[in-house]
Amino acid sequence: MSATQTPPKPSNSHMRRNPPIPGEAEAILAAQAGDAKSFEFLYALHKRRVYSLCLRMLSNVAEAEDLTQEAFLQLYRKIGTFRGDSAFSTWLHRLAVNVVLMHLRKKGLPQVSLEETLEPSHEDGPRRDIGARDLTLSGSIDRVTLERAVENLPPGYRLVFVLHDVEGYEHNEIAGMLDCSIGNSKSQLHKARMKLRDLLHSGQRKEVA
Amino acid sequence: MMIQMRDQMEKSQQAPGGSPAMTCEEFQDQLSGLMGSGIREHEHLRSCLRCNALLDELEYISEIAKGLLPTHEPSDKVWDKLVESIHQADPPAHGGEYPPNGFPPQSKRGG
Repeated sequence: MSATQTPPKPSNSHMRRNPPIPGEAEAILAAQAGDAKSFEFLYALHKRRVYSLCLRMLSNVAEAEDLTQEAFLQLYRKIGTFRGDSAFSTWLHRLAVNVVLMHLRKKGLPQVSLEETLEPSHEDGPRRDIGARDLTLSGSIDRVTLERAVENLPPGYRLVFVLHDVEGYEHNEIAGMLDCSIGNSKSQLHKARMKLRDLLHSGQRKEVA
Repeated sequence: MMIQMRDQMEKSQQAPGGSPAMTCEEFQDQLSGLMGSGIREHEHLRSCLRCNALLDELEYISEIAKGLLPTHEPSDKVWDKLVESIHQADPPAHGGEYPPNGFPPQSKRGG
């Protein structure tokens, strides 16, 4: 999907994470009329969310900053088309996702090769849990630990995990964004969670040792 | 016949405490498609502690991920470069100055 396309309506599940923000509606109207202070207010409101999204999808500070800038430049160009059919933050974050995906496709790196990311080799796939395991994760990991583990996911897994589990997109939305089937999105998510579980267990074993 | 019986026994042994109807391996191969509502009712999970524990951990990871907050802060240079790129993309009309309130109104924008 092109970043220049108008973001589609989000699902209700995504709306739950984007409640209205005081002063935002007035700022949107003023920014649509060209008021720079209001645009700056909107930037201040949403910069962390957009940047965090970019950083988690890319795991690269320089690229995340460049694409945050690009996402807000797109916002500047498109804010006049925002009609309030969905929460502004939902609309903006979808726009940011599209900016990141377009960037990845332009780079032509393996992380956007669906063959590679959605149909990894057997060695890249999730290991089954048939053998013995002496540690359990439940109750033992915090957000910082998980954040670090997400950084170490293979790029294709990371994309789907961030979109689904962190950002709250549904599989049908992700399938549309990545131009893949819903089954592939589910499969990638499962592999991402299994890989994270492996990474987190490895971290625990290192702490114990 | 004997070979079939032996294979069946081996499969059952792969599912510690589980149902002979489905081994842990088979269940986990299907897990990505099964994840979501109703998976806890799956026959294999009624008797397999290991796969229940696996599912607990995967759901736990997902729950923690939902709580990952947008804590990362972009550097100030992002805003500075953004304003610069807006001005480059949208220079003031007739070579004049930008209005005191900032950017050109929406009707004058390109792009």
